[in-house]
Amino acid sequence: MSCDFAVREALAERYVLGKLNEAEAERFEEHFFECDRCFEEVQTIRAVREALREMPLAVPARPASRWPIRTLSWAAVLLLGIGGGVSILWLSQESSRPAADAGAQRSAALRLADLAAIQPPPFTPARLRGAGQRGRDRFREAMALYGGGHFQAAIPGLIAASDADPADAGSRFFLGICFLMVNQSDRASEALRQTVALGDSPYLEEAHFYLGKALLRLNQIDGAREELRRAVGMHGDLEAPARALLGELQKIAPAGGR
Amino acid sequence: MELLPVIIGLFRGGPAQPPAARDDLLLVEAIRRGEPDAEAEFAERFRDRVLNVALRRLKDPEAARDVAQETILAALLSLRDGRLNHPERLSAFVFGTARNLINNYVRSSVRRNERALTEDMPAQTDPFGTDFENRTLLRSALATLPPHDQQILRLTLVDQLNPGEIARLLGLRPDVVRARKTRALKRIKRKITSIVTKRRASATQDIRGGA
Repeated sequence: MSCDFAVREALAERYVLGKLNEAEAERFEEHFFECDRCFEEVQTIRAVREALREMPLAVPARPASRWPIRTLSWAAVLLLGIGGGVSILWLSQESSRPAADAGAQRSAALRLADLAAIQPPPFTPARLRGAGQRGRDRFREAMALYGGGHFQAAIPGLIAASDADPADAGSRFFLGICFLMVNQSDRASEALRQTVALGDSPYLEEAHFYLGKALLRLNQIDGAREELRRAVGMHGDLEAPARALLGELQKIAPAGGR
Repeated sequence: MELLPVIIGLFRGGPAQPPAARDDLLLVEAIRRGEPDAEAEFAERFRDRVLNVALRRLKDPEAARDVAQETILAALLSLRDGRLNHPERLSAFVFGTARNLINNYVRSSVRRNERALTEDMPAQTDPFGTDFENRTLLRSALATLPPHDQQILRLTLVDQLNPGEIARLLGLRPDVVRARKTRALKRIKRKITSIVTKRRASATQDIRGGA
């Protein structure tokens, strides 16, 4: 077995996750007995996995100075002379965790991803308003595609419609939804923010709600919480789902916690 | 610079740079001559490798530790006695020794399991002493990753999702997920190396300042 093969097949990761069959695992073990590089990869992945299991969900944009590492005295650490290294961390962690949850527990990240899942909101043509004729045509064409579930195909028309009438909240809102549906969360959040920025419109509550979803996907939890609170505050159809999402979010990543 | 030797050297208060590993032939020869450094090098090189194999097979950290220790001792005794005919096959020899001892353990495990059913499990203790600093080191390295990259690592290593599944959840392409995962692991290694280097420099300064 070569290192290139091991890297190409992600053997270290699959070994740590127990995804190799007995013969594959044994062949890889024979290899890493001789290969420092692959063994280092195994130990790094193990250590990172255990650290992630212990760490709370990351909340972005925290300044580096908030981390406890800055407060440690490195010299004191060195003088401790504790045996082992990162390589042994995983073992003591394995030993202190009940076997039942090993590898089976869903992480906060996965539960968060579940919360961020969406169903596309239905489009009611009567809501169309304000756009010029050209913009309206592009919007209608795009929304026909949207109604058929062709979200990627609907995007160019919605961009054209919102360019033709920058004050039209509908085209920007559904553009945001289409971006969500094709997993372009960055662009979705941008379009939904623009919808919110347009102020009062039939789409404002939904824009807050789905912007919250987009921010969840981007792991911007504080921002997502804020948008969901705004959706709740509008006391519309989405008040209850937004409240429920906030409740679930609180369980996964408590507000005010790290 | 290799990451783990650096970390191990650091936590053991070892030399500024990890010593270069000896060639298998030289290592076996040195053990036969009874050089303690050679035995320590041997144990350090193979201990965690054997632990990996034992833990995978036995699923029991305590038993894995015992078998790993037994393996290192058994292999060392053989080497001291010059019973390894092909020193260039040192790794294969240790792997084979580990496999035999693990198999022995598995064969005799029925009695152990019977006993385990009737006895309370003893409290687990950390045989390596505190690992708080190791954890802090890793966490600090992980904390420097962009949240999205942390999320990808979590979904991969904790939730065991494949890149396609993660891509769907996060709105990324699978190749992007793979690339970000690889990049994230590399960044962690670099970050740890950087932290370790700073620690070492700081400690050296403190020692010089105190001298």
